[in-house]
Amino acid sequence: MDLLSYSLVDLIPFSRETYFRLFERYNIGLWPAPIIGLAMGLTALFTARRAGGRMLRTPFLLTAVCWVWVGWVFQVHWYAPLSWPGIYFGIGFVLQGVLMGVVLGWRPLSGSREGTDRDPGPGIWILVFALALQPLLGLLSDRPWYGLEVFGSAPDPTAIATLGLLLMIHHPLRWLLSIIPLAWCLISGATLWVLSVPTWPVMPLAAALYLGVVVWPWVSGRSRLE
Amino acid sequence: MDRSCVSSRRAFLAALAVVPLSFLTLPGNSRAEDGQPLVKSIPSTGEPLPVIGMGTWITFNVGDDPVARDVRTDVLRAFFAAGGGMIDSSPMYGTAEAVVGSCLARLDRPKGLFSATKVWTSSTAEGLEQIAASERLWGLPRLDLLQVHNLVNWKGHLETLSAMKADGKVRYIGVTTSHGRRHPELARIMETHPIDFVQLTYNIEDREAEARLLPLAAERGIAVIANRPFQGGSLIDRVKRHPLPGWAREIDCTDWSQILLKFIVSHPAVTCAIPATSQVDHMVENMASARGAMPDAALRRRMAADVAAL
Repeated sequence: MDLLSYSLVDLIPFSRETYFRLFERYNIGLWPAPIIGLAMGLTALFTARRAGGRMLRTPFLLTAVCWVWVGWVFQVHWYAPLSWPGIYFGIGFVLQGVLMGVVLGWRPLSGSREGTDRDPGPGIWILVFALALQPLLGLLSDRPWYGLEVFGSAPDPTAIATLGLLLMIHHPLRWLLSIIPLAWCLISGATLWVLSVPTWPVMPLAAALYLGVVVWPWVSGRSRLE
Repeated sequence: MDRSCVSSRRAFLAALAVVPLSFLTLPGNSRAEDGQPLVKSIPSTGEPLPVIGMGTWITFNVGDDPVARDVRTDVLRAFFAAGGGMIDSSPMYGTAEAVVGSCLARLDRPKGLFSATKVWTSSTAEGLEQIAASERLWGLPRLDLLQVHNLVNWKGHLETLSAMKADGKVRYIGVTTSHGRRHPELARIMETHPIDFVQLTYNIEDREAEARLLPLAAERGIAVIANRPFQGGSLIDRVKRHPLPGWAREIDCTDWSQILLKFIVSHPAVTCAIPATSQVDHMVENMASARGAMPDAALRRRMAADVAAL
């Protein structure tokens, strides 16, 4: 297949109405999965903020489970029938879940360079945004409350919340765990742009913010002082 | 229907097809007869085909959504009520084939359907499985037209399609492109392979096909399906901000979509256009393009110039 002959629009063979209806049908069809996902997200928020040591694995294990769920259930079984790249997105999401589970769930976080910052910094606010504010952005597009995208069952808030969590830790493999969430931010932003959804810049901006926070210590020279 | 009647009718229509659609290029605008939708002959057989068909890209990819499927069933009902024929889809269009099949079943397999889909895979062997899946999704034992989508593995698939046609498993075969992709390669296929149809992008804004492909299709007796008649929506969005030109009344147009579609189907080499819509009122407007007066060559030039100046 000559993929280079296809444009972005070719990869999005559905309308904005169909995309929004997808989340409405998904949330209703799998109810109460969205509530369970949100509860897992809130648990991740509070454990990430307060827990230390071994308990720090909790938010990452919860989030890893959400990536696998979103990959297998949403991407493969709900999104892919509408758009064939969904299969590959599903594989990517499941892979991200497995990576997070293995790297941050099973392997203890030890050593002075690992674990959380005492000041969680912007990571906690990105997490709060993904859990509480990002779903409400759907209301700006006149979407009904039962069609909103929430952490744990929808890809966008799950990806942004993960970036927030990753900002709260030091880990040698953090870059590896960032690749798929960052890629999804660009893919989702491009999809929403093609569909003329007014909030399309949110995802790429979240990715840019994450990269900015990660890179800033090197740019400012702080890393040499630590 | 008696097979011999069909055969003699086809022979008669084939004979008519030898006479080019010259009425469209004669001085003065032509008119579809007696309020009936305009049809053109498929050159390879002479079979008549309504000049306005229907595309399914995006509009019919709605998955299992029962509300959206109800609306698409109404759209198809309006299409056939207005004398529509060709429905074009592809395995690339997500659930579009399944939705079309579901709607057709709910409409009790309307008469006049001309089913057109594509094969879209890099594997020749997988192509056969894909075609079988398309027949199942459409709910049809045999599809009218199978096309190689976007020239993907066209050599392998054309062999398959030619064999299927010889065995009576498909009535027509063709090749598609869109967005002006790979026109030189498409021209070579048209010159060297016995295909019945070619599908390409042609509209009042994108007229690249006029230079080589449309004259070649006329010369080789290949039917032409024009896709992207509204340039993916951007063209109609642009022109509808302006009032209808005075000449719109000369060709019985009451909105811009009819102007754009009549421009396309009045080209002598174009057999049909396949606008896509998910709204019944738009379908009714589109289908009205097949009726009334059609622009002649002089008016077509003026239409193109006026739209370019908007």
